Amino acid sequence: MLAFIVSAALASPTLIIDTEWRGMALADHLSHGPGVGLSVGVLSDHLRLGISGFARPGPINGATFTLTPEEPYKGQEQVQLRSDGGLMGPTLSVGLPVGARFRADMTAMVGYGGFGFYLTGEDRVTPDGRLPSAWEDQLMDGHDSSLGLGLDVGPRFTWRATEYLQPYVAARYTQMLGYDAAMRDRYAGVSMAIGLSTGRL
Amino acid sequence: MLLAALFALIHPAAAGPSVSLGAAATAATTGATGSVGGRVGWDSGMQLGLSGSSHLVRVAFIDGYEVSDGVAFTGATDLTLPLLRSGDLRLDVELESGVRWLVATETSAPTDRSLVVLADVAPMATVDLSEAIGLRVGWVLLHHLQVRPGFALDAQGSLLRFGLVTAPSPDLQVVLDGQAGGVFGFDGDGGKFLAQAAVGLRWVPGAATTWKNH
Repeated sequence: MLAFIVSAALASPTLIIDTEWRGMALADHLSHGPGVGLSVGVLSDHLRLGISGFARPGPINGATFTLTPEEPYKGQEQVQLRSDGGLMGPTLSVGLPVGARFRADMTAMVGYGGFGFYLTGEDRVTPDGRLPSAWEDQLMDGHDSSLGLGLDVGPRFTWRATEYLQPYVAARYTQMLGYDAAMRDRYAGVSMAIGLSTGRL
Repeated sequence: MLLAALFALIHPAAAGPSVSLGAAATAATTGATGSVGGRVGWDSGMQLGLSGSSHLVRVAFIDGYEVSDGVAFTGATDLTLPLLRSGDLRLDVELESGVRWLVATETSAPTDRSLVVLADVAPMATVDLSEAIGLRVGWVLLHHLQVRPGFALDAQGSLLRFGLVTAPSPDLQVVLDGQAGGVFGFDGDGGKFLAQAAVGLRWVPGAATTWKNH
């Protein structure tokens, strides 16, 4: 009986690669970055299991964050920092067809990652030659970043454009659990993504 | 050809493996690269490749200290394992491992040389848009570990990857490939973003229109 259930669940599994770009409103600012995923669909592709993740690269995001250190840094009373980070982990998605050409999913990822804040531009040339990370630890009392578990959940709508290439849009709510850094005590917010699912769908 | 014969011995299910030889030029946020390589592909979908590259380095890191000028050399092997073949679709996972030797000419690092071990995993889909054009979509999970002058995480991240493989003749392929994404290394002192674009030419005798998933 168990073998029959497992066999039925795994019959003709789908295999999907997801690539996307996100616009994010995390930690009270706007940013953007890439997202990826790889999943296997079972139970007539109503359930997808896999991994997914996204990144918020610092150099392509212009938002800065003002740090007022206890002692001036290179003569500056205030220092402008940038942020970066990412999250990746196992993902579960439950989906249903909507009409003949669309599909709606609810996706949830519990992953591990981190977000932090760093010296940028000429500030990375430190006054004593120590690495920037040493100064970031000193300026932010060791709390320049926070690592840990995070949640990334939300709906996704896919257009079955062709047999193997299917674009989608998605909304996500992301929250880093227990986040605690000097510049922010919470790294959370909503995102919108545009992506492409490729595979046997 | 010797490589093909050798692996035909250990992969007896194969019938007449295909061979691909190519060269590519890459421009990246880290500098420029020229590379050459060869690959053997079997009917089972498994592929094995070897490549060598030389880099003009504009951004790199040794122990977290920035390198603003230098040269590097990479030797790598690439094992492609088929996951799924369905009509015009090929889904594979590419496992690339190699070493990169960097010699810096401008750096604030205490030493001017480093050795990095590369281990990349890339799930890739190849969809035949036509007999002569294939679209490649996927992503690369990269994990680069500096082993000399000391052990440290050189770069870790996931890059989006898109490419086009065109076959203007039965034996020739022109390849375009682009990758971009966030990276992290040396406890935050390393690179934070990587983008690169490559153009290549491959000689794939007799299989340029049928073997696009590489």
